[in-house]
Amino acid sequence: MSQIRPDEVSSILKEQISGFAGQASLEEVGTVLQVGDGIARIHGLFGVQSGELVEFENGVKAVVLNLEEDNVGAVLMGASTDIKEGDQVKRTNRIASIPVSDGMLGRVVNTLGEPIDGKGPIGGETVDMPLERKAPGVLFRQPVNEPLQTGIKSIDAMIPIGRGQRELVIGDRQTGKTAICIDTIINQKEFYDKGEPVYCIYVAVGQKESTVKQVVKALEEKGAMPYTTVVSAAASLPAPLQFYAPMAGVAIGEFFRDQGKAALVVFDDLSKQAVAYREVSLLLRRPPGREAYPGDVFYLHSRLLERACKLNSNTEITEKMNDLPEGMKGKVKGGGSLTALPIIETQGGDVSAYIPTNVISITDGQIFLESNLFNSGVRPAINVGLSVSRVGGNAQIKSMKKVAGTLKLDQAEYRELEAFSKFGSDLDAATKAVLDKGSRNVEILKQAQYSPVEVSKQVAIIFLGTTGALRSIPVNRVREFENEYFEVLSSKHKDTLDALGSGKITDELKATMTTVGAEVAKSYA
Amino acid sequence: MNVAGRYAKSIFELAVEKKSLAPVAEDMQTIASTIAENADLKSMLNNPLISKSTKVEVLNKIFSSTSELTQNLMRVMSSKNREGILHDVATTFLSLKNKSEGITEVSVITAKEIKAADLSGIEAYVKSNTNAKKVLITNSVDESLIGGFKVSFDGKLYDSTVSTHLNNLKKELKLA
Repeated sequence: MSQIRPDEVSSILKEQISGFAGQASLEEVGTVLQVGDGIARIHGLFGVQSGELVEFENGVKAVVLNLEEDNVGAVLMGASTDIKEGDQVKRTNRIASIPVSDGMLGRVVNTLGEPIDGKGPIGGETVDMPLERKAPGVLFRQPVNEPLQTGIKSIDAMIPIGRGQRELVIGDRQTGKTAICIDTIINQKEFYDKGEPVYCIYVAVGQKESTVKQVVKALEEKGAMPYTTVVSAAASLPAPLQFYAPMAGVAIGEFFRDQGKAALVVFDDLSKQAVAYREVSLLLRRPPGREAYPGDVFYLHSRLLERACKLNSNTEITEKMNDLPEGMKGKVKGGGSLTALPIIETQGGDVSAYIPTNVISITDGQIFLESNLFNSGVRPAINVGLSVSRVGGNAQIKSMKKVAGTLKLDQAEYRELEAFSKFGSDLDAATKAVLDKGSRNVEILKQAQYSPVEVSKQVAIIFLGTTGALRSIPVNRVREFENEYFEVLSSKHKDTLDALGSGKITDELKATMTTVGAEVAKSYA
Repeated sequence: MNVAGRYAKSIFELAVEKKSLAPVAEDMQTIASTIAENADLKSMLNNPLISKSTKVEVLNKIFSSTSELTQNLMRVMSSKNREGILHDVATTFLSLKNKSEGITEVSVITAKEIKAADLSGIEAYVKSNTNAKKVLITNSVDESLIGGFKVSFDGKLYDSTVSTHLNNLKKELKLA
């Protein structure tokens, strides 16, 4: 570190001190009646609003959640150790919000938007984005029509996600929920390199700090950090910070969405957020309901996920958006989107528990992961039968739509007949054909972690799978074949891939894929 | 509204109805100050081991000169085992009375003794910031403020003391 020059320091001091004079003003204050469990009961603060940020003498901030007849209940956003009964609390006249800027990309921040990665202060022109904000109304929206490529074959082919969609990722522990979301973030590198980035926000709620560190490291290694912000509220932090973390993530996403850019936010996971919210609600003495969750836990998730949307592409209309923060005025551009991938962890595959059913009903579809699929080697362990995407179909590129149209039905038929596969040669030819095709398609849809596939290549291999061109290849060598096929295509038929990637599908392209496939297949028969 | 608030509201409304607000207010003032100054009395009233009849007897002896209404209030309260909150009832009553008469209580804390002329300046400031008809100022001295003054009223605070300014400066320099 370079030496600090004394004149430099004192000049800064002078500046600060000269700008300091006369800061006394009439403030609204209250006194702490009771503090504990991360909750403070405050007397006074007569004009305070719900959701307002208040400040204690030692600089700790709190959010007012309960307005009662003779006291105010606030949740502390920091340690309660230095706060005593009788301490003074000041209103800030500011609804809880975080400063957001472009400088947040590539950084790890906490719920309050402060950097926690030790890389110094966050640069860029900041805008205060409220944690709680009403979602844009109908007028300011537009149907989902652009694809969000996850780079995962089974998702992009059968459960397509569009920009602005909310797609739930649900499954037991250790089924690869986080892996799917991280792969999706990594796959956006393609668009970042092209200059049309999808800004990603990964929100870690109640996770181990070591897990967060691992995710950040993986993103860094894959070159995904330059367009990604990680919001972390680790398990050791107070519950309020944990349940506000997804709101902080959405606030950062809205900053990009409102400027006409595309953004993706991953909530990992909302079950832990609900648990943190339950804790706070019970401490605030709100009555418990089913599974001891408060009555408004549905509203907690619905208002959060409603903020993910596709904005109207007409800037004149989006400029008039409801509840636009003061700092965003003049910066709004139409056509932005915020896609949400909430994660829910189930216990023993029980999707009929309270929180999973709530979030399933709020989102536009779900990706259902199963541990027995995972253990039998189908990774990503997506149960195609139970997974749906309610709006993504419109967003799929034309070539993929055409090629993968029959894939979902084929696989359903395959699963129905799968039980018969044990009878081996006693089967009739039609059943055998379905089984052969299905088992090879399952192989095609397998994919290693951290290796997203471009959509053009996905179309190329799924085309072969659905047309039955893989019949001659032994099931255990399908993945080997796939790699070689991709290599040949990208080295000799770049133009075909480019055409497929842009959504075109012609007889000529189909012919190229078939011949290349047949040629490569020769050495596998 | 808490329990003390309910008793205070009832006695206040009754006093207004019977047009005896002034004597009852005086009683409440006596009760509030007597109990505040006398810790033994307070702990006795709160003590569940002391019988109800003893408490009534003691209260009757101390506040024998109070008005009929106040006496009745004390009887009702002891019959419901609420002697312990007598002090809260008295203070809540006084603040209700102040509110109804448009009186704002202001507490001024200074580092040194303050002149009456300066207090009237503060009074004018408070009047301009509230819709108070009358301002009741209580002045106290706290040398730890170093200099300047602190005015609080209606849950608002005007803090212009040297110690607070120094603290703010400390915070700001720490941030930079």
